[in-house]
Amino acid sequence: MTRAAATLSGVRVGVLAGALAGVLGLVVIVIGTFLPWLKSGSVTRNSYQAGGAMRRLLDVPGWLGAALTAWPFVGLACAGVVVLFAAGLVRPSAVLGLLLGAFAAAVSAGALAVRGSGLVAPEAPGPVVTVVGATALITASTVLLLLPQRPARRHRS
Amino acid sequence: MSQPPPPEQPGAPGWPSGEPQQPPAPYWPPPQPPQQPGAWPPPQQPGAWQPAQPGAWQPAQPGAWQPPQQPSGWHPQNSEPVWGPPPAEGGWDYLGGSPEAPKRGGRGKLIASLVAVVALAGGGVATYVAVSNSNSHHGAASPKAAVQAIVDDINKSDLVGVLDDLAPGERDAIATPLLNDIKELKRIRVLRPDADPTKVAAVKTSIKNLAFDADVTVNDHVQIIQLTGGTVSLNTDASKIPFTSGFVKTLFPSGAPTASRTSTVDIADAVRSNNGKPIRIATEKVGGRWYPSIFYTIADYAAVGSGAVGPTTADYVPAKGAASPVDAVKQLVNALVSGDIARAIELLSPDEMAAVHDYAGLIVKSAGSSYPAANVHIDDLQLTVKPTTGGAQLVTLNSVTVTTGTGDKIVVTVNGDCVDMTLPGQAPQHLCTSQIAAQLASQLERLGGQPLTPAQKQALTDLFGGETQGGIVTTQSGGQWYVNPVRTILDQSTGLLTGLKGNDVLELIGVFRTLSGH
Repeated sequence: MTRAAATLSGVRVGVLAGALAGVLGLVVIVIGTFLPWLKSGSVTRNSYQAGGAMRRLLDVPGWLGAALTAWPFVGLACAGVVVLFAAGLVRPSAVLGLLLGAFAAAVSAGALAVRGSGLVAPEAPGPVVTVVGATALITASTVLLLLPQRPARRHRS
Repeated sequence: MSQPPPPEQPGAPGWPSGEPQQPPAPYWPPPQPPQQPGAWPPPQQPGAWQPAQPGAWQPAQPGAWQPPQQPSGWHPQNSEPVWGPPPAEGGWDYLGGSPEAPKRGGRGKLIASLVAVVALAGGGVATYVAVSNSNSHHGAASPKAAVQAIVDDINKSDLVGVLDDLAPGERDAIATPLLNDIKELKRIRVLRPDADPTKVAAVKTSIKNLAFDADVTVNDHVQIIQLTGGTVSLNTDASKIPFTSGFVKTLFPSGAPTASRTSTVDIADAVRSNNGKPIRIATEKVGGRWYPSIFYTIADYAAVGSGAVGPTTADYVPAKGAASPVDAVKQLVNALVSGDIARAIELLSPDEMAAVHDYAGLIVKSAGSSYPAANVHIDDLQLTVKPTTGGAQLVTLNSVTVTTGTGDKIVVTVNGDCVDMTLPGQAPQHLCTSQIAAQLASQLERLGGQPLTPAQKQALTDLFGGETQGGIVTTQSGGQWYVNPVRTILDQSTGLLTGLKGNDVLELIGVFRTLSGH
């Protein structure tokens, strides 16, 4: 095997590994968002139910309010990452994955940082699982962005 | 510019016609010779390669060799074959564009398409469920379902669910101040932050087997649900209130009550003892969905209690706001001073005070004659406005000048934490919150018979020196500004708590325990 072929093989393995880790991260993120995030009395709420309640009950201004409004579309954004990759647009897919991972990680970390009031308290499973998925997605996206580009074509001069 | 020698070509000596043994793909020679002067000239000699000549090798002809259409590995992106030698070993570099995904054959494209479709379908389903979850507490399809929903949430001790079940206008008025109060109580060490919500319900309610009588329709957006049967069990246990140990020790020095008490109410018995009148719960229709309404329930009980049948369309007073928050407050003050109740109701928020607008006629009839105009005239009212939560504006007082019926003038001016007052026949007074706190402290010391500790004096100063200045909450609806009385009152309680720090509440409790002799 030539050195060029070996490098090409390495790139392909990297793309494959990044893709698998990314898909795993996306799936874990989506699962995490449907796990418990908030407990009130004997009722637990997933991230979407908790976010909806927050929007209705509390005045959530600024970027946090915008994040709560956008949060239900995380699943669609995850699908967008996969579609871009399947279309061969690896770099745009990785960039979207990086942004999505950072967004999910920020929201989950914020939820974990919130302290309860005794009557209403945050739940750990949802945010923890989402942070794990977001970390996997960020890592995979970074690997894909750092991989060498396709080989240059030597044009006859 | 030197040119490399042309590669061997089909038709040339040493290259048999038909399929080549070693196809040079992807560096397949061009079918057209270079046109540039000085470039490699096309072979013109008979017997040499001539693309257009019959019998010679033609790339597109069946049976002749053709470059592979779907190579298994990497190949150039251009459909045009590349003219040039293969890259030398180690000749990889960066082009700066996107890394290319491996090119797929027909099967690869099919798989990629399937993956994309599955991902889109999965993402779509997840988003649909997520959006549904996000709006899951968005009212009920019927008045009975709305009441049942809040009953279910009460049974689960679900505070968030109960607040979320309320009509939107009432939810905005009550939920935010209540949740802010809980946050403040945690900050000033009254509530524990680490309590388990499933175990802290001091009052556990179990409402079962509800029986309903026929609904009463008030108008197109208000219906009364009538309860005639069922049981309500209340289990109270003060030890389960998530108070901090410091708060409990201060409040109950000899030990907090721990007894758990349970009482059960039979709704049917309660109805019988109330002359057969069912328990009435009002529901409000907003945006096509039904919600239980506290304010409509209060208004309904007030109307029933006064012997009125219920509001008619003639009793409705439509909302008619003002152009600005300051104008709304000024017009409300003038309406109240002049005894114009109808105008005052017009200026109330149609979202928060929808019940008051619907029952306005009944309110005016019952209070109008006993509410004459005040014998004062407001000469000047200076207000300022500052934004508060939820897009609302807080209108606060700068100064007011009033002329009484006897012609005396009263001037009150607010300067930060201090108030300047000019009263008839008296020297101008200057009072600050710290002075008020000091005066109160000396009064309390005299009443209690012992001096207050520095911490207790500081707690009094903090109580009156809260950063949140009192004001009137106004909100915008339909481009006009209205006054929100319920939110104004509830925000004031949060404002009081905001001023307190650390153990202030415990110190204040200590002051009042001293006064009461315990």
